[in-house]
Amino acid sequence: MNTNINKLIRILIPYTFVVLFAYILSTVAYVYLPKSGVNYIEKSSTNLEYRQYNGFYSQVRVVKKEPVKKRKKQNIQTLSNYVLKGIYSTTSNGGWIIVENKRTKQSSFISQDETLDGYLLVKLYKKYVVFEKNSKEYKLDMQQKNENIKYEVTRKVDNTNENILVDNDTVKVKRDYLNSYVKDIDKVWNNIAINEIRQNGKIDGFKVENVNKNSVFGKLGLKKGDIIKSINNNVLGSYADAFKVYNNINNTKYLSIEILRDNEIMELNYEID
Amino acid sequence: MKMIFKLFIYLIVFLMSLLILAPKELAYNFAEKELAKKQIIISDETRDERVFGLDIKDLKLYFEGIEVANTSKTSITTFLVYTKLKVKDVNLLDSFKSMIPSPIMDIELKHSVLEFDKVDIKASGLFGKVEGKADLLNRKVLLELFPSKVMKSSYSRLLRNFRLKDGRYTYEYKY
Repeated sequence: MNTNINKLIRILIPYTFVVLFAYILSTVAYVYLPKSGVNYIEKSSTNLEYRQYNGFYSQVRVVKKEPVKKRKKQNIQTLSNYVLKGIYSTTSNGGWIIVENKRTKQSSFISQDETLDGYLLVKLYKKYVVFEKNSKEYKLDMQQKNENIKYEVTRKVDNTNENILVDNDTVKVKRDYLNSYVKDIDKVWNNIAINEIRQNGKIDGFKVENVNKNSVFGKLGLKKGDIIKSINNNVLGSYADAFKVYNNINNTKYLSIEILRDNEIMELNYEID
Repeated sequence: MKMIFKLFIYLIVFLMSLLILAPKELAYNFAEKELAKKQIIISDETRDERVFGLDIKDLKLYFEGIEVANTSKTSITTFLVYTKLKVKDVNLLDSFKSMIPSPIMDIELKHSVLEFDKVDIKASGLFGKVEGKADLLNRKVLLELFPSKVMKSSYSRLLRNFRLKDGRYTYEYKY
């Protein structure tokens, strides 16, 4: 009997060591492996935020607020000798304007922080610019055209009322019309072709390779060659960013699309009705 | 010969012990953290450790901050020489449903040492059936699709990504 037990122990001892070795390895793994996993935490910043709504073809991006300089300010006055013909911006947040002297009819390009007859161009807005001279600020408004653009495009296709109302700077799109695209992704890709633009390996916007002029995209002002940089102030730096916009479109009342067209940053602003 | 047989038995006992004693849930934590580096997050799941594997229930899959899909059950079974990953009921996010037919009923990945450089892939769902292999050495995935009627009629755009030859839909992807 004793002999049998001893024999069994002799057989089992090597196996005990093998199991012990496995146990030690598992313990080492236990010490080094992470004790908790990863959980998704929704960031509040992922929600679409709406910056502002300032009309359809705004030709300049909103210049970032500069730190307030300590200076004695006086009331903003108007530069009466000049007519502001155009405001342009660059990707680096800089910008320049075209002004025309009313008397000489001579036009000049003025970059931000350049001077015009001693007036320093300090701020560029969508519809006006601000010059500074002797600690006074001078406002110059964009030349207003006497055109009153107002038209409505209505068409009924497959029970969908394709309606776009253009009233000067305001463009209203019917939600049903937009939803007909949101619900049918094939309809989107049949009417617009978009490709990513990469810079240093990172996505830096989406280029419109082709667009059907009769589609909602064409009617909303997108053109071939446009590079969509941001939507509602959310920079499109990945497909996920673009997808977030697509997912939230039903909760969005306004759309502000920042595009790069012919090296100019433009904003297309729409109201979803 | 007897010695070799003995060593083989020791090896089997060692591997089995290792598999039984291994902290599988912690290994899963490690895998989650590695995936998170690639912006893939598995969240809200419940885990259930088994002797030779791990069950993960009701997980939500996020990619770059977007919830892409959720699944009812995922089970990982491994005997080291043979590993199987089975995913049941994959429901894609509503926005994806217009692009890919959802739900996907089953996804099954199998790896065996007998064919160590390949991973068997099988999936079935509203789209039909997919069978294929991932070639680990050549970093290539070869899939064959057996499309359902729904897939043929409503998802022709997706179907166009497959190569149609002799009535067979194939797809090759290099990574």
